[in-house]
Amino acid sequence: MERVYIAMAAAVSIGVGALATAWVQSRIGTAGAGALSEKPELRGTVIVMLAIPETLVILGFVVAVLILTGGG
Amino acid sequence: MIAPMSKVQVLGPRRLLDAALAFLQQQGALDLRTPSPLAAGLPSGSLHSVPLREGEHAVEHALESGLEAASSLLAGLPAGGRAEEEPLPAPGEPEFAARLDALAAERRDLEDRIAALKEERQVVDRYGRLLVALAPLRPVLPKPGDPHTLGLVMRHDARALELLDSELRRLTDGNCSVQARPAGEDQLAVLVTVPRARANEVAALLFERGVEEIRLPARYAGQPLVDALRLLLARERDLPAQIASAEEDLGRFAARVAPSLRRAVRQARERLDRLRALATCGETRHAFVVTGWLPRAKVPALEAGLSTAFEGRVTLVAHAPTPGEEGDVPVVLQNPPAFRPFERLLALVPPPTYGSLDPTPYLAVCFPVLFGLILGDAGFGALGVVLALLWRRRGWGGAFGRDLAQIALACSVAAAVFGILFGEAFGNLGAELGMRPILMDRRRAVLSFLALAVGVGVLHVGLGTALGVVQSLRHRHLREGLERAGRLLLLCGGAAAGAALAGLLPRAALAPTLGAGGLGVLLAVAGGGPLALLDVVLSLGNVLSYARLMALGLASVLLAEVANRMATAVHPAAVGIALALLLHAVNFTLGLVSPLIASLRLHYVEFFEKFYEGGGRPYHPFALES
Repeated sequence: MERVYIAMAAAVSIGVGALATAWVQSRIGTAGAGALSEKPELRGTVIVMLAIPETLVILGFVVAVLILTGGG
Repeated sequence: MIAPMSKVQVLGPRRLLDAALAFLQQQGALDLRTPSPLAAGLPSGSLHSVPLREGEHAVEHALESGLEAASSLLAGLPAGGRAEEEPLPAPGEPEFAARLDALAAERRDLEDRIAALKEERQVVDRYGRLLVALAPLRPVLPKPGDPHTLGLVMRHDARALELLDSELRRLTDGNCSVQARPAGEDQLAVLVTVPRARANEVAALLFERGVEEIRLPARYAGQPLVDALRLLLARERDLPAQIASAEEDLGRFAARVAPSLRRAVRQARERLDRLRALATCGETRHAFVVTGWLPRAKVPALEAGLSTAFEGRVTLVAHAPTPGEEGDVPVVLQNPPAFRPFERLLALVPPPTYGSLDPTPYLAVCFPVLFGLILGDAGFGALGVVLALLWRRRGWGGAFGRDLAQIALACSVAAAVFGILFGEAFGNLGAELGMRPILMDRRRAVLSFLALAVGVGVLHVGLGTALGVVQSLRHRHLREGLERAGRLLLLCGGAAAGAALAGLLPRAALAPTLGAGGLGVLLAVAGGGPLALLDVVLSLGNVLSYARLMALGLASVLLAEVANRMATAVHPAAVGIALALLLHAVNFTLGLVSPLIASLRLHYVEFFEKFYEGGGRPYHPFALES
């Protein structure tokens, strides 16, 4: 039973992070597409903005790995 | 590095201004600025911008309209064809506009001729098919009467044909015939014969029901069917040659005028640039001054060129940027050839300000390392090297493509090197074939890989912070430098303490490293105030962000492993191998895109934030069109 809890905890860790990243990227993507149609020179900034929330899912993944491996 | 720039003033007699501007445009080095009287060493009010004279306004207008007309005449002209080039009058001359009008009319005639011939080919094709289908049919009436025939086009539909037949029988009391033959894939050619007395009623019925009647174009109408058919077949034979001939005429027209038109467009743009550049020049009653920025290394050549061309009557004065002028100085990056392609990656963010640090060399070294650490596969790396070399050899995309190929080559080599260190080639295929990890097996030593990723983050962020310290000291921003030095000390102390806890350093080092970290916090607060604590926490976030190197790298290697398993698990083996190849191709594509975006992000967000001063002014020299 304990292994099930561990697996579920890891799944929640990465799942919630992925959902949060997806939601934020959808908002930034929409705004970024609008901004690019007006000012194409902002493409670098938009790419950076779009990549910023990736950290959420990456850290979720790291926590999931730590949960699954027992942190050592 | 950022090339040192000089502010240049070119001075000479007013009557030589046009010639001096033409010379400067030819040299293509000076980024023009509006001169100020004080900078030119003149009393306020004595220097004013050069207005366009009466004739120059007219020339400007003529050039603009000529440019528009020549560009639209050039647009869509076919390539190829051989003809002697036709010289054109100079753009801006009245004869130029008249000649362009004549050429536009000539082009229109040629295009209309081609369009008419192509339309006729469609007509001939359509009616030819129908008439060929109708030719064997004979107009007959079941009962005596004067026969009237109608040709119809219908879709292949037996029910519709039956319905038409029954309606016509009802209308003509059974004295009609409906004969149909296929004409093409989905059409029927139908010959309807009715008594002439009922022709109008039948025509009205067909119109009501939307049945299409064959109406030959005027050229073929009113002739017996056989004659019309013969004429159509003759045209069908002749038209391709006539169309080809008309297209050749258009090609010859293009070959005759396109080079001259392109030259005229270039000349018009250059002349317009010179006229517009006048607005940035200053003049007194007898002299002119042209001001701008120039890379310092090019000053002697321009000075010598001016002296020779104007026999000493036009002189050049150059000086270094004065304090406060940095924001106006355009930025020219000057890096060794190996680093130069990476300037393209810097083009995605605003250029660095003059006097700040050019991050291109650091980007050129660190970017491939981060990319390689993520992809880390000898097989994919070797494949990338082959593709990059092919790309460079073929010269796809011109200069831009060559630079990208160079970046791809560096990244692929790094991926191959890390692949050897991790013992990976197309996932675990390398291990199956005897490759052994030299550094670590990423698939199993996940936490060690995470530690490596964070360690790389410490080094990268630490390098950025150290550059920030140097930058602050160069600008004499001592408090900012102190804060950055404190953060660097905290970062180094924290990393060393982590290494001591992990057993990589002696345990005795723990206390001094923690002390150094604490001192770093104090220095940061001393330099930046309490808000510096927030930056300290953000720096920790910056370092943790490098965990993505591990996450993306692990995802890549596991996807490759799944592809390899598929090759052995799926039967028949050919399907398994095909699926594995497909998955490897997907993984390779993802392996190019994900590390690229992640590495760029780590540079732009985590690394540049520590020292980069963006917002520089791009260098736009006043030059001839290339």
